[in-house]
Amino acid sequence: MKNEAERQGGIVAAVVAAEVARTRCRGVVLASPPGPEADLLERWLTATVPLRRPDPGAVSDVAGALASVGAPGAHVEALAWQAVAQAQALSQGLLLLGTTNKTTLLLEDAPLPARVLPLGDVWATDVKRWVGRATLPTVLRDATDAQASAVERSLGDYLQEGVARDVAFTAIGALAPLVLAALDGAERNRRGLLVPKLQKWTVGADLAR
Amino acid sequence: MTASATLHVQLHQTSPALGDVATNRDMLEKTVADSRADVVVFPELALTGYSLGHRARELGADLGGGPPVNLPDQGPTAIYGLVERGEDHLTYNAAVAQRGSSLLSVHRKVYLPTYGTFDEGRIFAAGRRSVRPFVLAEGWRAGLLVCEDFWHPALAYLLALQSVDVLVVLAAAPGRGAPTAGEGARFGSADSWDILARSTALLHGMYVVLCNRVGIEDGVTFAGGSMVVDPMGQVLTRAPQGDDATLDVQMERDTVARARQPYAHLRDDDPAVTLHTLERILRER
Repeated sequence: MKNEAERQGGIVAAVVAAEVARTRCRGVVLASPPGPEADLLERWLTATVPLRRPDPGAVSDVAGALASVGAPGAHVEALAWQAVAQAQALSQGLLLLGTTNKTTLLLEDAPLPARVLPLGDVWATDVKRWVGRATLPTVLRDATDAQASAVERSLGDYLQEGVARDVAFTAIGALAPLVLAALDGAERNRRGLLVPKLQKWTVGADLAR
Repeated sequence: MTASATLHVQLHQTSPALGDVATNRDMLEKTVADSRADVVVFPELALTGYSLGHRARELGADLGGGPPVNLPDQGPTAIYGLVERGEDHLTYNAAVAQRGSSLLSVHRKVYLPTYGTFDEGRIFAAGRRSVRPFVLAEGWRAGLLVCEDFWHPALAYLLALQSVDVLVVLAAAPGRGAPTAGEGARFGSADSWDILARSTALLHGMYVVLCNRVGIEDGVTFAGGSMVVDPMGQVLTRAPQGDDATLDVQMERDTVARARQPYAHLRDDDPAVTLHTLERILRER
């Protein structure tokens, strides 16, 4: 009998395989540093599609170059992994994958590492349940497991179940204003393209799909 | 004309190739030509795939020039979904029933989901014709609905009032939630369709044929789980979730008659009460 991780992993792997086929890629490359999400994705995808990780030596070189031009320290590593992964994707015909989980996607105001985010509908607490660790957004960095779960339940109630905003977040108490500010702040990142609307049919708005 | 006592219906739960009308049409034509069934059913937008975006119109068919699929004159009736370019220059998500080179019925999807993962209202015009049954075979009246239409029970009710024996619903319904564990694993959303199909069949004493697609487009996993329900509300056959499948079922006119004897809901229904109440509701809105 399959457990929940395997069942969700089956769907994720099937969606990634379909996108690899559609884009005629030879496999995938992870555009994010090593971490629990990358480990989970590797576990889910290995049997389905060839998976590569960027060469750490090249990442180190690029990180040095980024630091030398003043890239903010907190973002240097992530940017270096993205740059090397993107170069690898272009040169080897690979599909670029981000490893961002759903909780981080909703609450972190940061550039997305890739267009395809296979874990974008997987909560951070599920990642932690399955691999022992998870990446949390800045607003939850000091939260306990119980608090993180409560925040995810509130987000689910609000975004998926249609519960009113002022009701959905009451259970998380003092965290509510911080979480809502993070949710609103990250909203633009999730909408994909931003294109000034000049004509009747505009790429990024009417022609987004 | 003698009514057929039985009707052999065959469902094909397929994964249409997105945007590849030629491939989908070839598959459909070959499947129908090879079938020994009376009726062969395919899912919503079987000729085009689902996530069409701005390509919908160019992939559509102008039915004024005849059906877009070539079927043998003596072969089964095919029911399938396609994009219709209307004579009004609008684009519709439609279901058609076709025998040989004749179109028996065209239903334009009335309710276009435009919420959550769905974007149909940006692509298609909503059907505004009244729903009408058609003669599927001698003595068998059928009605067509497309996916979201089924969630608006008034449409099935209107068809039932017009003495439909078989309701055929074509769908491209995503699976939501990870499949449940164990034998016969199903998506979390499967139960809703099951309840809907069984209750509609039972309430109206009609067969319900639900043909849902499978495959993946744009991150969406289509659930499959096609089924046929008899007029007593019992599931006669059910396809697996997620995989291509073919279902064969033999329908019997006697079963429709038997279902309507103990349960006289259809006989006793009074559409005048419904109509009066609807008129009042609309007046007071």
